[in-house]
Amino acid sequence: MVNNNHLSDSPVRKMVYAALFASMTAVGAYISIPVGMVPVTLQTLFVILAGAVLGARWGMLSMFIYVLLGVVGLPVFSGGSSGLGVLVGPTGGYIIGFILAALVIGYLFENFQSKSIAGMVAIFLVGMLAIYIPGYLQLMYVASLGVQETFALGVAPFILGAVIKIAAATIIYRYLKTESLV
Amino acid sequence: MPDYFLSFVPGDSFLHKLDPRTKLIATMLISILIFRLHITGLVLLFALFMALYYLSSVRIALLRNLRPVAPFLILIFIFQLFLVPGNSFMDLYGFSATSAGFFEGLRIVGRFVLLIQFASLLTATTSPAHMTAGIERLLRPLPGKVLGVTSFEIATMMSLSIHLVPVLNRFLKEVYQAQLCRGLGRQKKLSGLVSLAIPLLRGAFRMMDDIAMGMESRCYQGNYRTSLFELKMNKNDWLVLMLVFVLLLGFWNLNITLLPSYQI
Repeated sequence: MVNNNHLSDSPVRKMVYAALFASMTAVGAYISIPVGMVPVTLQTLFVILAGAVLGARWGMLSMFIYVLLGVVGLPVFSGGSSGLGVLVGPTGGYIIGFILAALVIGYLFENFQSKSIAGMVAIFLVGMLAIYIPGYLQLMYVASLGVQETFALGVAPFILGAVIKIAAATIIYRYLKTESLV
Repeated sequence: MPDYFLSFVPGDSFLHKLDPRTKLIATMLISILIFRLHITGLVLLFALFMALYYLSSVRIALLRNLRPVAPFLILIFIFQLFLVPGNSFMDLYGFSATSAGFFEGLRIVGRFVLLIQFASLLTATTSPAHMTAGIERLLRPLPGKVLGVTSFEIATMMSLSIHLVPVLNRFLKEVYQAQLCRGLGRQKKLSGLVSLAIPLLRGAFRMMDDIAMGMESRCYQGNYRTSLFELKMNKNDWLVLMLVFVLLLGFWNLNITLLPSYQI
């Protein structure tokens, strides 16, 4: 491996990084690390990092590629599922939310140069909401559940994990910034 | 990634020989149809699925496809069973299971089972490379200005991603083993998460810089390239598309149910 630090901004490099974050999101679904009592998968961590590192356009594209990988039949959706059926199924809204989250986070990071920790946490929090709101709505709609049942089934179990991932994403993004890797 | 496997099963059946575009469009149309149907229609579609399943001569594990979503499906069924109002046939701790809820739950869970099975038939009979080519061709009419990339670049990114998944998985195991060797055991703290993610990202970025430099050095440009295996729609493809379209129109208003008793 050549350690090249040329950091060009060519579209080819952006493309390759977008492909990287698509596969990271795929691999992240399989990595579960216990933090305290909560098992945390790295999937949504890489989603929100994709938005922060790549920006709005390429972050969105990388999540689009991730969705296409699942459509093609790689077992990349959570639990090792794949296919078009998952996208319109009860958990499909979260996967659509990945695209939205990367777009929103990328947009916010591009337009508000937030160096402070609080600013980063706020942006990642908005991104997490962009994952769970479409997920919540699709689960409620396609499974025709009530407001409270959907919350109990589709949002409440993931809140603690989301908080941990926002904290981790902030630490990692700050590290990448100070090492000027992004 | 303990059981990383491709859902594609090589074969030589009628479904394998169809153009990937035909299969993609047909699966999408059937997915739309599934959301329109009640139990009778779903049973008929399940019969169609079984016919295609035997025609395809792939033996995919039908129940295994459902395992990842099974907890969701079971909970959705239970919610429907107890929360839909109607005349109850069973009482459990103050909650009453209704027959209307039973059929409603059966209909919703049946939909998801069918959606997943039809999609798994698509992925079992089409290799990822073919599917990528098919998606590229379907995306080609989209103006490149909308996404900012051409469909060829999307196809390149997809095949790059497909090949990166096992590489990254192995790299992750290496990072983990290296940390174990140096006495950094399994930490149950936030720092455990971060100390795994940062080396993973650093190493991956370095790999990507090499790939990007390689592609730039070879003057990669996202333009149309000829291929050894061009996709071609032949007579069978058009026939299948027409049949699916007829099926869609014919079943569209099949909301009359043969089980009128549950329409309460």
